[in-house]
Amino acid sequence: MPPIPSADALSAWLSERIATYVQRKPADIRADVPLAEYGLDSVYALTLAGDLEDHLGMSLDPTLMWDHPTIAGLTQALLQVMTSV
Amino acid sequence: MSTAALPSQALDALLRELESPDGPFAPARIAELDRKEAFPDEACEALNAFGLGAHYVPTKHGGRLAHFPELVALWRTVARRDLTAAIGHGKTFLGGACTWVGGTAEQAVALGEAVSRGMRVSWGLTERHHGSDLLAGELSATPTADGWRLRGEKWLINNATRGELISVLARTDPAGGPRGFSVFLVDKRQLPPGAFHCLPKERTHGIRGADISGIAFNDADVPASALVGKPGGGIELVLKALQLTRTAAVAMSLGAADHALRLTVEFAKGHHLYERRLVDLPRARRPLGTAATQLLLAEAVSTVGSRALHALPAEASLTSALTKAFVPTAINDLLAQLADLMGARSFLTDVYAHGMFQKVERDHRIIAIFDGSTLVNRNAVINQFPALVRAFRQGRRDVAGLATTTTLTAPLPEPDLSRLGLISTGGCSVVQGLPDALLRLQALADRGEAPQAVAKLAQSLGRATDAVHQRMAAQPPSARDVPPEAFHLAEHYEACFAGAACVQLWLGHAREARGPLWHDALWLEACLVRVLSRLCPEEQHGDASVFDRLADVVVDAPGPFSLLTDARTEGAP
Repeated sequence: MPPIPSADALSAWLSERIATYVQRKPADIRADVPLAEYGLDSVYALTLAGDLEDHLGMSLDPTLMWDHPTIAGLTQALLQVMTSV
Repeated sequence: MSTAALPSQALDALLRELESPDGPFAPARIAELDRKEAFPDEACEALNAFGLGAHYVPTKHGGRLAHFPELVALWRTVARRDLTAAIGHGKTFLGGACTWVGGTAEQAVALGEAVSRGMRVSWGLTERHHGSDLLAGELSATPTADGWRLRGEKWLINNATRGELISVLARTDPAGGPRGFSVFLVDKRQLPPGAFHCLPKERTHGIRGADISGIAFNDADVPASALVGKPGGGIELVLKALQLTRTAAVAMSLGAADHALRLTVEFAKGHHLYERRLVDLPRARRPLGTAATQLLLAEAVSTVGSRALHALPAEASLTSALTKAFVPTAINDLLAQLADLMGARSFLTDVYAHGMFQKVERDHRIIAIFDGSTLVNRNAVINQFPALVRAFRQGRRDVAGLATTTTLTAPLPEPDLSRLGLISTGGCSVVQGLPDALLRLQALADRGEAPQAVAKLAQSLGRATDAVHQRMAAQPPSARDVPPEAFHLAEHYEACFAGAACVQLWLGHAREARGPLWHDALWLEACLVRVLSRLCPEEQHGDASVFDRLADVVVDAPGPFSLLTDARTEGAP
C-alpha cells in the first residue's frame, strides 16, 4: 500500500480533481464549501471514489462523498479511514 | 432442477387455460377492458390465486424469489398475454424492493407475508414537477414524538390508488441533498380518514386500464417502524433497489416481443399475396429474421443482467442500467419492424386478433420510460465512463462471477443485496471479459468446433469495442452538462455489452445445447451481424442472409421463439 499522504497533499489532489470535473481552476475550489455548490452533481460525485481508489490504492465506500460533502471534511474522513486499516 | 418444476412453466400452462373465450386472459376480454380503460381485476385475481406474489419475496424473507431469471420468466409469461395485467400486478415487487434491500428482517418478513397473501404495494418516487429528479422531491417527513409526519404528493404512481401499501421517498432534511431523504413503508389501511387522499387516474396512451394515479398525504402520522433503512439513507436505498427492478422490468419487453412476433408470424402464414403466403416471400423473411434477432439480443442481455444480480452484484449499478437502456429500445425497434410487415393490421383495432398488435405497440411505450428512462440509464453509464475505461485497459474482471453469470447451467448463489453499490469501481466484467472470450472462440474455430465466419465477426466486435473505449477515454468529464455525444457513446457501449453477452453465453453453452438456433452458432451469428451494423454502420458485416436462415426457425418454432428453449439452465427459464 502506498504511504499515507499528508492532509495538505490530499486536499490539493482533491481540489485539482474536482476542478477538472467542474471545469474550473483548482484555486477556485474552496475546502469548506459543499461541492454541490460548484455544480458537482451528487451522483457524479460518486465517480470520485474510483479516482480515489486508484490514487490511494485502497477500496472505499463511494457514499463517503455524500457523508462528507466538502474537501476539508472528505480529507479528514479519508485520513481516518487510512489510519484505521 | 427439473424443467417441469419451473414456476414460469406452471404459470404458462395456467394462462393457456385462462385464454379460452370466457377466461380473464381471452384476447377479446383484454381488448374490451383496454377500450373501457378498466383495470384487469379478474386477470390479477387469477395471478394471485396462482401465488405470483410469493415470487416477489426473496426466499430468505419467506417467499419464493430464489432466482431473478425466474422472476423475469414469470413476468414475461404474463406480459406476452397482457402488459396491463403484468404491469398492474408486477408493481408490487417494485414497491417491496426497498424493504428487501434495506429493511430489517422483521420488516421484510412482515411485508413478505402480506405480499405473498396478495397485498398490493406501490412505489412513490416521482412528483408532479420533478419527474426523474429524485433530489428535487418535496414530499416531506418530519419527526414526531413516536414516528414521522408525512406531507405532500407523489404523482404518476402505478397502483397509488389500488395499493394497500406504498413505499414513499420523503425529504427528511429541509436542505435536501443526497443524505436528505428517507424511505417509508406506509400502510394506507392504518391511516385515519383524511390523512391522505388518492389522486385521479390519469388517462394514458398505453396500458389504458392501469391505475396510474397519485397520492397526497395531509399530515399523515406513521409509526417509527415505517422507516426503511437509515434516516437520510433514502436516495442510496432507492438507487440500489432500482438495480433490482430495472433488471427485472425488462421482462415486460420480452413478453411484448413474444406477443408481437407470434401475431405477426400467424398473420404472415395466413395472408396471401401473389398466390403465395406472405411468410414465404423473401421480402417478409428478411425483416422477420431481423426483428427476431432483436429479441435474441434482448434475451441475451436480460439473461446476463438478471444472472449478474446473483453473481456480480457489485457491478449491478452498471448491468442494470445497461439492461434497462438496451432491452426496451431493442424491442421498440422490433415492434416497428413487425408493424411494417403487418401493414394495416398493425393499426386496426377490430380486424385482426382483436387489435392486439396495436395494443402491444401502445402498451410497450411505457417500458422505456418508467423505472428510469433510457436517458436516465444512459446517464448512469456515462457517469462511470472513467472507471469503465480504466478497468477495460487493465483487463480487470471478476473471473468467477463472470463465469457464473454467463454459464446457463451454473448454479446461482443467493443474491447478496448488501453487495449492491452505487457505482462499480471494478467496471463491467461482461465487457472486460470480451478479449479473453474472443481468444477462446478463435481457438474453437481453429479446431473446427465453431464456424470461422462467426469467429471473424466476433473479432470485429473486439476491435469495435476497443474503439468505443478510446472514444470514452477522450470524453471530457460530464459533472454538469452531459453532451449529446456522450449519450451516443453510451448507446454504443450498450451494443458492446450486448455483443459480449452473446459471445460469452454461446461459449458457455454451445457444447451442451441442441436445436436449430444453436446449430452452427446461428443465433450468435445473427446477433453479431446486428450489433456490428449498429457499431460500424458504414461497413458491411458478414452475410445478411443469416436473417433469412433465422426467419426459418422463427416460422417453424412450435412455441415462443427463444434462445433459452434449447438451453438447459439452472435456476433460469
